[in-house]
Amino acid sequence: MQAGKLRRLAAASLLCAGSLILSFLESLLPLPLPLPGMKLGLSNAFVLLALYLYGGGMAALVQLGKVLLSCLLFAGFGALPYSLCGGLLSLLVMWSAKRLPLLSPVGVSALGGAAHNLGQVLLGALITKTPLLLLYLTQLLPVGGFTGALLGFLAAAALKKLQGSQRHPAR
Amino acid sequence: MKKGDFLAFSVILLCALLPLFLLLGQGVGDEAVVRVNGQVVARLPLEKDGEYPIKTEYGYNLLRVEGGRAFLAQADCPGLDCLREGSVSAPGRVLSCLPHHLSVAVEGARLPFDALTE
Repeated sequence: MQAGKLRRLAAASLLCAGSLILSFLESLLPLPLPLPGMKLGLSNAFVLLALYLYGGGMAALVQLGKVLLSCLLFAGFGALPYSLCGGLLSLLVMWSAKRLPLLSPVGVSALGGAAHNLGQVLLGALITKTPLLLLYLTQLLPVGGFTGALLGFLAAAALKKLQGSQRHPAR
Repeated sequence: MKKGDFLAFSVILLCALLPLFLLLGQGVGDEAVVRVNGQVVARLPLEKDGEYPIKTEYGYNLLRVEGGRAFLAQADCPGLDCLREGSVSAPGRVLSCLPHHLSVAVEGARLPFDALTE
């Protein structure tokens, strides 16, 4: 009777762990990128998988777990408000975008990547009361959208395999 | 990939252009305006070389002005994104260390007349 719940818990843990591993790998290889917030955002692939395989609730769980734990482990709590703001906005945008039938995971993920940067920079501009900070977005949005689209391809390929498998029924 | 994906890309690129309007009001940049938590804590003229340590409850950064350009030279945050930002001199350019609630914006605060009347 608890099998469904247990399965969801196991899936949440697995997806969270997966996204943390990618966060960790990314923190090991800091790319010499010129702007704060400019990065691959590999771990978002798992949030995307959670969204497509299990729905918005699971994606929120994975995103929150990932943000809290990766700040605790790698980024530090100074980064937490920005990660949280970017992460939640990204989640909201991807959840809404997924409902549009004209978007594939690639477009959904691109919008999510851009939204992540948007959330972070908006909060940064608000906290420092420096509207000029929004100029970061001229570079961060295209890059965030691009890396997001790449991760979308990755997640779409994984989804194809997972949804074809009997052992991992999609819910 | 579906058609809508390209629409999504276009929306993202269009949104990326919007902040450029912020540059319209910018005059001649001659000061690095340092803000912590939104409060202006220092205005450093770019023509004068110097160092400005910024120590707050959030952490430590060192701002350096050299040859008319401002850059963050040291920081004690884990990410060190601010050190990779390079240097700025043009009006409207910003540096930031967001974990420390710090921004450094090049602003043309003074009218050029100041220099002329001296």
